[in-house]
Amino acid sequence: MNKKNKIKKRDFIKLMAYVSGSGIIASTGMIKTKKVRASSHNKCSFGMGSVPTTADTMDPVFRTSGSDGIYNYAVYEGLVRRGPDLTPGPELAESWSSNNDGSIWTFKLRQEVTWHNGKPFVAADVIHSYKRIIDPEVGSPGASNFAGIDPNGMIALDDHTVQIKLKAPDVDFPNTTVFSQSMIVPEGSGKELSTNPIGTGAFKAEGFMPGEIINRFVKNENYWGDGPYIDELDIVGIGEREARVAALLGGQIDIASQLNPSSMGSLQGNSKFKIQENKVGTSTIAYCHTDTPPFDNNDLRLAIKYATNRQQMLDLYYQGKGALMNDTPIPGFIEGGLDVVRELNIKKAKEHLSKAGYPNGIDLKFEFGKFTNEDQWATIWQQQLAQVGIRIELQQRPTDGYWGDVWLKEGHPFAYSGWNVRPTHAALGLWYVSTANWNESRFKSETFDANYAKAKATVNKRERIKLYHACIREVADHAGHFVPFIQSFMDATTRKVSGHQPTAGTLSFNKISLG
Amino acid sequence: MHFFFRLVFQRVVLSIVSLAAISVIIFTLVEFLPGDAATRVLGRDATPKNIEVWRKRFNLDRPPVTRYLLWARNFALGNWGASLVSVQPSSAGNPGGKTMRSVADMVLPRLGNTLILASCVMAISIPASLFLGIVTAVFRKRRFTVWLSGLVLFGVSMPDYVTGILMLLVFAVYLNWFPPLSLINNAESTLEIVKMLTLPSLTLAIAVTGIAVRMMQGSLLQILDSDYVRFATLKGLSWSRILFSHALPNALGPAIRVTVLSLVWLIGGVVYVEVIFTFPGLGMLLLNSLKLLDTPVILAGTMLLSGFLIYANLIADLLAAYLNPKLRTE
Repeated sequence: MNKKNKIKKRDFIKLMAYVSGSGIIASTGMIKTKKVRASSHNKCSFGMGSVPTTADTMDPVFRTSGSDGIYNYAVYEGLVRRGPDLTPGPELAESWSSNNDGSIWTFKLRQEVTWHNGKPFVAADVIHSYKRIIDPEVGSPGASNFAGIDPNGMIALDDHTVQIKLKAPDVDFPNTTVFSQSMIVPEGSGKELSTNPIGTGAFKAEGFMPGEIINRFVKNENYWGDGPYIDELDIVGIGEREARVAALLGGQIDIASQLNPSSMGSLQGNSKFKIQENKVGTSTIAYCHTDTPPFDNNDLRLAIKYATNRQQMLDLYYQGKGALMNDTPIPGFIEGGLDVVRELNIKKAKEHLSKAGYPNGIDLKFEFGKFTNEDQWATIWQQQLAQVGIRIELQQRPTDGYWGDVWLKEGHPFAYSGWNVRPTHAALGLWYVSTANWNESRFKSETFDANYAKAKATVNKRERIKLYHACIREVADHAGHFVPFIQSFMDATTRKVSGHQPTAGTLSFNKISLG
Repeated sequence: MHFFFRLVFQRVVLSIVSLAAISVIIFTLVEFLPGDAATRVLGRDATPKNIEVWRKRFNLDRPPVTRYLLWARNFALGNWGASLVSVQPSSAGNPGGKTMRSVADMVLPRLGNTLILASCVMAISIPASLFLGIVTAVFRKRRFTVWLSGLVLFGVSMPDYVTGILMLLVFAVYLNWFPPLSLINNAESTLEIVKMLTLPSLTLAIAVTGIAVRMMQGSLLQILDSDYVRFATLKGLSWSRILFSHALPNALGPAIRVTVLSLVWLIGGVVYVEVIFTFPGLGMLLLNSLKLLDTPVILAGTMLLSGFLIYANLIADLLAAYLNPKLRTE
């Protein structure tokens, strides 16, 4: 044996100790730690369900994913805000009014507002922001929502009054301005906003870095409105629901958003935490292309609708937390919505199926992506439809690229979708108007289009809502949307957090306080 | 020495060929995936007009071969290129925020974090596997060894994501000893960093140690059964002298190799573990870039990991040859 190769016991143990010790010391020593803050420092960590991506942007016109939408709410504001029940309320605009048919809108702006860089907020900022959204060269994903604006029809009547002319009347236009791509940015600003945002909001970005798990926002001392009541807001992206709950239980975050009833188990009955629910939530939808056989037959669509046991689905899938729906995601408890529930009716379902020409049942393929628990949802539905002879083969598609490769695409006529609840006029306009970009079920009806256009030009609220109801009834009976329920938004916070509410509307970080 | 130089030279040349091949394969696979960065980023907002504008923004309007060759030339010259989708933060000397972010700026800090995690894993697993390997081989007939071997087998068989979730559940959620999110860049003290690193390191170390222990135990058992060990015993040498002077040096070679090879497990497992513990490492970045089809970042990340594996293997071979002259054959 070569002497050099001999190992002494003592040396061996020493060597191992060195390896372990130096490895750990070197590792931890490489990380720079942040200074511990004074205990009076008031910091809130908001755990969001969207995973931050390196494509995140703080330029509102380019906002696409869930994470940058949430960041934007901390820094920017729109003319109008949307409350937890989706009704419009004043934000940067104090008040608004229109001409007789709703084709010219005048917004009175707040006077005391300043930008994060100290400059005053004026009408020119609003015009600049709207011009950016509708400029085809900018390529804003929200441009189509503002296609109704006349590009040459935006005028600053004075420093705090803006007039916007529309190509066609739209009495719901103020509620359209809530789309987060239309948050107001300073005049003359452009792409630099993507990482160096300047807004009027309650918080300023501190070194925004796309794709970082935590992005920090600090208090805007000169905020015009209510709050902010915290010095710092950390927005933490934690994709897994269970991990968000674990982080809340472990004290690493103060608010865990986008939870569901099954993830609440360890929080229920625990006095240290509060659970919050908002029924104006989100929907899990199936749609079919109404121009593609066999789905072009409305009797088949009705058979599917009558065979769906909505209550059972909501109970099994979401522990009953939500509201039953009548095949449109527009619930009766929002303005202009309609509460009708189609009762389960096996006999009627079978009749419609026979009438459609399938007395012995039919085999269909349904495609979905598993973003959360859609597989469970689809399996429950599969079992229910099987009772009347509608046999669905479930085909799970990769979630990455689902929206680009399956959704809306030719050759994928029966598939999954999901939407947050939107105000009535927006929902009808986005999903059911013949020419709408997101008309998933390819629903085309002259009556609907006419009623919708008429509603948009009807200033009288009662008359308008009547027309919207007619639209909703038509959609429920004829469109290729299968919406059994909407599920509630559920967030959980520590006991000391107040002022937070889960919402599909405008997130109010300014109101959050730690008691 | 001549042998070592030749080995290093051969392997370096081969590694360049391998890396070039890997880059072609990765690029082609990404190209074949449905969609592109523009459709992935736009998601549901991907109208034909938007896609056209965004493709131009992301420089995707050139043919794939041109894009690959451009990337390969720049990469060879040490320029890793720029992300397709991520904008350079203005704080990094880019007041206009108009250019795309450099891949090196995105990858290197994350690689640093992953290396920290990997070194913690190795710091736990190397001594643990040597110790357990020796104990289970020397005391192979004792009852506790059976239990120990069972535990080791359990560690090897459990996938990282199961161990990780169990660890999270028990030590972070129920016992609250460690934080569930390993956000090491936001830690406020060194103690916090150590706490944040513990669970992910242990999760990975369990799998890596399991494999190394079994290998170490196997090669030691073979040696302990050999004639020269039996002769040393008959000669009256103490067991510690037999073990540490005669048996262990010969068993170390294969054990080191297997420890290095277990890096493959480590690299595979690191992605799961980073996601489970929300650890800001290279695995998370790669996963994110794959979702967005951000080719330059995917290529840089895979090149780094592949290069790391290739050279770790070379180091293992060199070490083994150094410890065992029999391996230095021409």
